[in-house]
Amino acid sequence: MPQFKSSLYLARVKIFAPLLMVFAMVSCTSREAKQKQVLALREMSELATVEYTVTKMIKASDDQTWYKIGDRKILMSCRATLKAGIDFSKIDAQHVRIKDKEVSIILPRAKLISVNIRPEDIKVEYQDIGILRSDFNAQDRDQLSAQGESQIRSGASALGILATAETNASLFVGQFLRKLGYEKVNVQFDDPGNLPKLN
Amino acid sequence: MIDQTPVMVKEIREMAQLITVTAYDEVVADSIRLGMTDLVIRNLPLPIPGSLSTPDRIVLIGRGRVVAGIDLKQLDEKSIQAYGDSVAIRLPRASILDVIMNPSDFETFSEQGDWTSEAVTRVKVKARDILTRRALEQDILGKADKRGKILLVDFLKASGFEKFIFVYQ
Repeated sequence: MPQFKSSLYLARVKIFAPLLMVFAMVSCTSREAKQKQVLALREMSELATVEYTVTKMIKASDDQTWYKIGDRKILMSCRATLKAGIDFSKIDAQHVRIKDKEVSIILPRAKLISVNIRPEDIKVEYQDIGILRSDFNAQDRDQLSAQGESQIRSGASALGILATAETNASLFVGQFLRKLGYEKVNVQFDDPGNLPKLN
Repeated sequence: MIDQTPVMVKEIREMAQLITVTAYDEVVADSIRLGMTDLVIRNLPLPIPGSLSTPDRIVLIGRGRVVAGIDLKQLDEKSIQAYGDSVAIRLPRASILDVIMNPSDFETFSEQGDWTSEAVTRVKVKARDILTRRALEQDILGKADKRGKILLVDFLKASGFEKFIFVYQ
């Protein structure tokens, strides 16, 4: 009887072990596949018409905390590229008026599309660390750079990027419509109550 | 808190990039090197167990986006042929226009040892390469091509055209 039990046990192991292995392999593969998947793919519809390359110095000194003895100062330089343009999907039949070889079109207002600071475009130019203070680590440097990024973003419109983006959008769309055969093109930008008119 | 410093414009470039697809992703990149303790232990003339080894390590989590689209600046006089309500366009293929991983997109998960700014930059570039590769594996360029065609068809319809032919350069 004990012999019969052990052979039954062995038979069960022989049946279930391969099944368990297959299950484990399948679960591993699906986990890997999930990890490889991109978080989200989103459809966009922006026409970038201008790119500004800007530079900024990031200055910080960490000497305000009373319980830390000694100063810590850092000076970093950073270069960023800013893109601006228009939302291309907002142009529909309502925004276009056609009369023979004349066309009038209303484009949406320009907006800032992206701010891009490549890791290699941030450089530590100078740092002064007091003898009793620790060095700036990667996290500290990232936090300071992130503040610089935020200042670049908030100051973008003062650089005139949106006006340049609208000028370029107007030129590009005008040229495109002329290539399509229109002889007279009138491009305007969206304002409340603005309807396309033919001159 | 950093000081307020001016933003200087270095270059202005005119362009016509139709951004059609963006892939958002999160990746992990790391780097390991022998720490000072390791170097000392390895040079000792004694059998020291490997478990005492404490290499320097940095692990970063990066969130970013890969932007793909069509460079419409490449369209010239010969690229567009219009006749009546029909138009034929020779389109450039979609390409990766930007890979954006800004300082605010990085998180230092673990940092053991002293890592210079240059060494951390190399890890970040590694993260950016992983992000780009994963977006390409998801056929971002194929999707950007399709979306670009849809956007142009909508624009051409609004501009009075009814028949379209697209050929890739």
